[in-house]
Amino acid sequence: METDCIAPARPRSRADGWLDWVQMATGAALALFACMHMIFLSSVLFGAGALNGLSAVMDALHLETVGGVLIAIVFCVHATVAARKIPFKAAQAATAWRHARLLHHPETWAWVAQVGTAFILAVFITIHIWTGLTDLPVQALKSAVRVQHGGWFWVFLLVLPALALHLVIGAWRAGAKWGLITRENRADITRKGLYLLGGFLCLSLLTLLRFRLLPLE
Amino acid sequence: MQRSLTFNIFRHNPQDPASVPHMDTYRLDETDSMTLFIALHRLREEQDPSLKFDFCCRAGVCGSCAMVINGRPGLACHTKTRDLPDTITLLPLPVFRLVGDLAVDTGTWFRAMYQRTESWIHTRAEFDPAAQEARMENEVANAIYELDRCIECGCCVAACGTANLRPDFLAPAGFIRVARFAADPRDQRTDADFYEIIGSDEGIFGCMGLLACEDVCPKHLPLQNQLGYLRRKMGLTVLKKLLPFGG
Repeated sequence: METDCIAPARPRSRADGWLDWVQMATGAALALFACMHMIFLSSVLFGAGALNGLSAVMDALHLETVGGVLIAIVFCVHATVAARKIPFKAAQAATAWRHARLLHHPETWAWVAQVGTAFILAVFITIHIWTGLTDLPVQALKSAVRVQHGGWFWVFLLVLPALALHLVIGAWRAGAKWGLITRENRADITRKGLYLLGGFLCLSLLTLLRFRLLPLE
Repeated sequence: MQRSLTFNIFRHNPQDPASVPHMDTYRLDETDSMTLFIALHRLREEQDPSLKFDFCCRAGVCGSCAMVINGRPGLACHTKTRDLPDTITLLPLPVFRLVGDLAVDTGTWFRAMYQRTESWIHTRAEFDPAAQEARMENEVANAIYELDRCIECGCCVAACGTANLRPDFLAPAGFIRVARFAADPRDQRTDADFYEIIGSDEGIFGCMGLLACEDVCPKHLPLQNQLGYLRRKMGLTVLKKLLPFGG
């Protein structure tokens, strides 16, 4: 008789454990970088000179070139390793969608949102890294031109919330998976995660608006 | 005021080639302290004797009457109709083999899981039938009992995103079983031994941390904390394997 019992396990290797570590470590590194990158760019809120000054210091230390290349590598590794958990097959994707709709469970929907934003970020950040690294150093005027011409403002308007969602949900899930978020502190950390989401969104959208309104002369 | 409840219930007999999965609608007047268990019995006795669902203890002990209630896995005998809206949709648990209508075969799944997790005390100690049973600190015994309260209802498995996506996933019920033996001082298995059971994407590294299992468990087992504990334990085990002195 055919049964849908649990399938037999395959022989063990260290690979899955290692990949889990790599996924978490690269995700944490990218999340930290995204926060620092946003704080760095938001210095434009104090004027173009503030951002240009910071950028000059980082450029003198070769942080923008070396750091940029390193981040590009970490980004590629994270995207590749994390993709193995995405249900790419149509039947799997349909199952995941049906499951989320049926369950009405916020954390399950959050995972769906994280997968959706991953696709947006994979495309945009690849382009962003390329355009950024081939046009160093970062300068307020160059960024303002990019935002004010060519429709990039609208792209950023889509990507920044996607980044904020992906980052906060990813950090929350890493905490849940590794036991930093426990039954006892779950509600408290979820609330703090929402504050972080709001704070990141406000800062990034204000910065975007500042670039939009920055005089180009 | 007495409510008239509408039940949308999944119907299908997989043994009958002519059977097509569909939803049937029933209506029933709500009574005081009515549970879904009572409602289903009344529907079967008063309206449709062909309706299939499992039950046994009606007290949240046997785990037989688990089903998807308005989207969430839960026990019919634990669920009061007064906590639900006027329209109630009942589906069988996913992941498990469908027996018919709301009845699923959780036994086959759990037996396979017990075999895969080698769900018994592993010891090299010689068994002496004349000796007294080894004593255990009350605190340790309570900790083991807390992990041993699973009633095998399958709600956590049905709510698990990964278990729905891949049939080889051990699922929360399997992890809490492993945690129970990891906490037992009589079990001489090492972390490396447990890694052989759960150190993979079909095991603990496949858990996506969605915590639906924690939220639907009718016995409120500490699934979330144990999943985190096992992942750290197995994560450290794989790191130790890298070190020359790590074993």
